[in-house]
Amino acid sequence: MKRVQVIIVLTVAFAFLICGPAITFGQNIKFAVVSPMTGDSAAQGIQIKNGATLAVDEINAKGIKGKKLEFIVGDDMANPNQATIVAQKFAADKTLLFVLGHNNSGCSISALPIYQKAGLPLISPTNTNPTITDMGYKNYFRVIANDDLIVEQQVLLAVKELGLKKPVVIWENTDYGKGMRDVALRKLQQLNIPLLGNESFVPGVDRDYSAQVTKFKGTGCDVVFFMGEYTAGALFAKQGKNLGLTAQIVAGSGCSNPKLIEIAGTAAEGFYALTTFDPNDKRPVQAAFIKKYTGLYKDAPGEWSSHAYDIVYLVKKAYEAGGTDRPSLIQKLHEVKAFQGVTGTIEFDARGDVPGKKVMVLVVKNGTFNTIVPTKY
Amino acid sequence: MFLQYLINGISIGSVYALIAIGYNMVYGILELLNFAHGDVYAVGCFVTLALIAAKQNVVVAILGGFAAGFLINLIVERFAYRPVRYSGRVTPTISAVGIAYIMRNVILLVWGPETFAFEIGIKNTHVKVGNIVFGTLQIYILLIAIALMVLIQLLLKRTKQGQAVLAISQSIPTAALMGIPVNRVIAAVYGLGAGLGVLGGILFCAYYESIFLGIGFMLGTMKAWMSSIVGGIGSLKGAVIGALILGLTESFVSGYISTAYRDAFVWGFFIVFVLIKPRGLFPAQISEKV
Repeated sequence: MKRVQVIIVLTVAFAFLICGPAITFGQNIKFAVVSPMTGDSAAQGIQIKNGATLAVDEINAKGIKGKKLEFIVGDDMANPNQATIVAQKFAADKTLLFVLGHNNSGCSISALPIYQKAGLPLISPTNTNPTITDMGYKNYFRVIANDDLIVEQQVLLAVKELGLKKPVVIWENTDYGKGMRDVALRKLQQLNIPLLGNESFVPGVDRDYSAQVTKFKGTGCDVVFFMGEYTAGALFAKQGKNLGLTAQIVAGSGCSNPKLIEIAGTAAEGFYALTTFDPNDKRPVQAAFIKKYTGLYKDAPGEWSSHAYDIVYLVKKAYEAGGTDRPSLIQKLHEVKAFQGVTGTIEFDARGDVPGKKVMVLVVKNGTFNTIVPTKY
Repeated sequence: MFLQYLINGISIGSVYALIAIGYNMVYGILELLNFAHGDVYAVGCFVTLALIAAKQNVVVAILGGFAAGFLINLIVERFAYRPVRYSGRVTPTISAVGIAYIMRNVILLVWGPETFAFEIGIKNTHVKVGNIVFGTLQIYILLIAIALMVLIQLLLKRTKQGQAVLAISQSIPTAALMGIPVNRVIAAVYGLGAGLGVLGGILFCAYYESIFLGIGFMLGTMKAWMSSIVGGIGSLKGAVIGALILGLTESFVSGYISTAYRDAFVWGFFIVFVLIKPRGLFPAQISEKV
């Protein structure tokens, strides 16, 4: 009999040991940041981490309801398969209040079912694929304008502002790139403008765009809609220039990264990129954020860091309003009204979208991004 | 457009050729599928990048990269390949894959995962003839690849050291009995293979004006391996011609069929080719002694 008792006691003790983190509530509010920390878009993941770190440090100086924020970092390598692996790890961690990420739409799409099962809110700084919020996940939020809005502006910028009416499109072969391509095709059809070329590439692998450039040259196009991230954008611009492609490149938000200019050099001159965060913003709150961030990380903040920064403050607000566990945080996030962040006004609709967000236009001039205000649409 | 696709294909192919030569040389002599080839030379290219960033002369930077590749492979040979040299074909291949991962992580640790601009002063001027554009660097790359191929073949056939290498490729025990310092010669072959890889890698990066982690495995080892299979594994001439065929196939498939499904078509072609000619176009000329 005694041995049985010992076994029971040991089993119970062991159960407490492994469930420990789940039943003891620590002093800290824990969350996870997940993005590509390695690979071609790692610069974006690092920006997201930096933006979150800055906000956490600022908030922790005073604390939230006597608690402090802390986060763990996951690397999804911008790869949907890897994203599900990281998501499973987070879902199993009962101490996490929410997840800040993923950077890539495809990663969020593949990981969302796992988060939903765990009731874990996923707040993305940068997912722009419009279809994510069509999927009906109640635990999903994004603080960035989606591609319906961004790509519509991209097309209008080329057609109305720059008067370019012979378009071709090149898209990265991912959910992000395909989503952008579809919106562009729809918008061009509405405007009755025929598409002269439609090509794709594999991000992170392809380094040679000579075939696409050659095809585009043959079409006599005057504008290339580039649907991808900055590394590919920079190489495309470079090789396009070398091979004598004269068409104007107008890119979506993935290219509004200063690294684009670093890689492309002079070939980046005249490159248009849309953005949801203006790195030249002169308004006091934004200017202070830009100055502080640049001072800390020796790198200008972009869409990635600014939206991640806003998410942490947004959660602080929802937490203070009573969103202290996963279900109530989801509810309180939906109730946030006209939150003023460095990226503009955040207020979620029922789908978890932010319809009130604005899109801005950047153009590379003399080696830096300049903000321009379109006047013709 | 046909001519431009042709030129694009030859350009991509010559870049692959340069990398395939070092890869195929090692295979021809030691019969090791060196899956670490790309990642080892990638480290060398990053060393060159670092030396350029430290304001060193281009020649110094290139020699530094070459030396780094050479040294790494000497060490790798000593500790990863030599202990398993006589344990069949599969074991060294697996230790090569291990080395590839270690090298990749070294790059991740030191330089990180990003793409960097790679400007080392090798000018690539673009010449326009009618509607066709080609870079001068493309021509140099092809010439360098062919020159290296001829040079290595001459060294193997005409020098005492080359004869030692050929003897080892036929039978290591016999070569040892003949008084050939087997360990030293094999180490030198690996070192040179990596050094050649670094030179190829530097021109590769200069051609695309950028460098990143993936130049090793994705664009190096895999393409070198495919080129070698098509051209005939173990044959230097085969490596160059196989690489040109690979480049042309990629260019024409992208141009006339699809950029989205390029790799599927290229691999499809590759599989059909291997079924028809499993030993490649130019099977290795190194004769086996019966």
